[in-house]
Amino acid sequence: MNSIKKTFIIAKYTFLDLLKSRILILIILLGLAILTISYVASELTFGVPQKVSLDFGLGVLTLGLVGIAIFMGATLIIKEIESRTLYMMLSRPVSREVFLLGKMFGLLQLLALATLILGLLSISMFVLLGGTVNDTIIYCTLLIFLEAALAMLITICFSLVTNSVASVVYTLALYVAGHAIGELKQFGYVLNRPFLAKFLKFYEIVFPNFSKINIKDYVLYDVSLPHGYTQNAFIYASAYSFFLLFIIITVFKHKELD
Amino acid sequence: MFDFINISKSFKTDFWASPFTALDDISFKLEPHTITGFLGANGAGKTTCLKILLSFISPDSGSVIFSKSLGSGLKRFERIGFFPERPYFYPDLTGVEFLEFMARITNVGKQVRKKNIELWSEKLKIDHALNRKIRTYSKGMLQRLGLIAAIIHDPILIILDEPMAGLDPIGRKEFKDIFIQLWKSGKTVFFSSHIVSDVEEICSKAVVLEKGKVLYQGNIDKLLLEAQNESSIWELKTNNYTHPIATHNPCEVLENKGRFQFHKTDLKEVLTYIQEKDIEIQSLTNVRPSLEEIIYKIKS
Repeated sequence: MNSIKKTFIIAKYTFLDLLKSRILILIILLGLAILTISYVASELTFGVPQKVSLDFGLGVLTLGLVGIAIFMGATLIIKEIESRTLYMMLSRPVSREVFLLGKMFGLLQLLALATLILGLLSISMFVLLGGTVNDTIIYCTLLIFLEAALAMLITICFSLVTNSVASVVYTLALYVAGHAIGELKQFGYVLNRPFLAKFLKFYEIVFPNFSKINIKDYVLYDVSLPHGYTQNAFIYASAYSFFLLFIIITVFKHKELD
Repeated sequence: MFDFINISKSFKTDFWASPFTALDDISFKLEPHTITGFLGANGAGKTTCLKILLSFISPDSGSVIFSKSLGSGLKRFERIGFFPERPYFYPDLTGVEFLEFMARITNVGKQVRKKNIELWSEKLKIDHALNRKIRTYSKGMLQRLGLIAAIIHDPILIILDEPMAGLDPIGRKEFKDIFIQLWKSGKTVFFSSHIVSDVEEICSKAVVLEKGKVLYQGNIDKLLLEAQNESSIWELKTNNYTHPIATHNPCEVLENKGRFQFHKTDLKEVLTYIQEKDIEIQSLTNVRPSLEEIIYKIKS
């Protein structure tokens, strides 16, 4: 009970520190970008301006959230070691797991706030231009949040074993590969080469497959989702997040904090 | 409060380099209710010791045994206050938010933390800046904030890593007064420094580290007394007698104000000379070397 309370205390102050930094200005700028781009694009489009607006809105939301998750995640723990605030924290009755979870929940709170602001703006613009909100749009927004959470965990995981620049680069590489893998599997070149197909299958098991949690195409082209697809996407993102969390906690518990 | 037993630690600077030994089989003990100075030059291994003590890093061999009065497991950290070297806290939090944060994760109740924040911030003259963001604080203010954070939960063992580094003389004096105050209220204070005079001024005990080995541990007064007894230099203060003393001129005239220093072997001759010339003397004392001089002597 005490651990849960302390996790929330650390999360609260991490969130407060992040919120008071310039990141909030970035979120507001991204919001303005969504409004401007959606408006300009809808003006230049014939037929379905609301779809174009939603496309841009969800695109900015994804890039913004993943960007915040990766860049903030890369320094979330390392900065604590470099500035020695970590020593101040871990010399208190706080376990390493509680500290780590608190920090991550703090950043997740910021991502949730950004999702709320940017998601609401995107959907509002879509509605203003004549679109109708359905479940798929809401699920899509939630999955974008989970995608960012997954990117944050990957970055933190890398940041514990390498420096922050390298962890950003590795996460971006995994993020791009994770999105491309769904398309790659369908390539004739891959289908004709069982070895490559097996390699991609193996890659999918070990590394995150972001294409599994990306339902933007279904939203934009109004295609109904296969039965259970959203559920599976949520289960996959959650399971992979727990797997990463386990790795992060194990590494951090044994890390030499010098 | 704790026993540091046969601790060794080596580090690798890079993959191919052979490891260098930071701590070499060191042992020392911290007595309760003392102010102990942890002395050593830069790179002597003081911070490494403190990191091992607080389980930030693990030793290659040896162990740390804490006194039962500190409790066990995470509970122990409720009774320990730590101040890291050159701290830089969350820059976008205000001073009061940071102190609240530190107090809350150490299970300090609302009333007590409010009272302690007020008390210590006034004592350390930082109360006027508590509502400002930490990024606007000067180095001295950060040190003061760090010290409050380290003692806000009323710990019984206070460990400070170079707490006075970068402070101006007034700040150093204030910190030293607070350490004495904490010690008088029954706390154990253990602080690292590379400035010997600070330790000599307020500590009753010292642990001296040199290149990863313990050079000395024990009472400072005892060390000073022993050194004084061994000292071969005597100082004579006269009532402004400015002429050379003794026929063989064994004395060194200091500042030409009637102060003379001479070697123990010349004592008899000097005393005879004083008697013969009927020189009025103020004092004749065995010169006490400073702790710094003693440490240099031990090193060499």
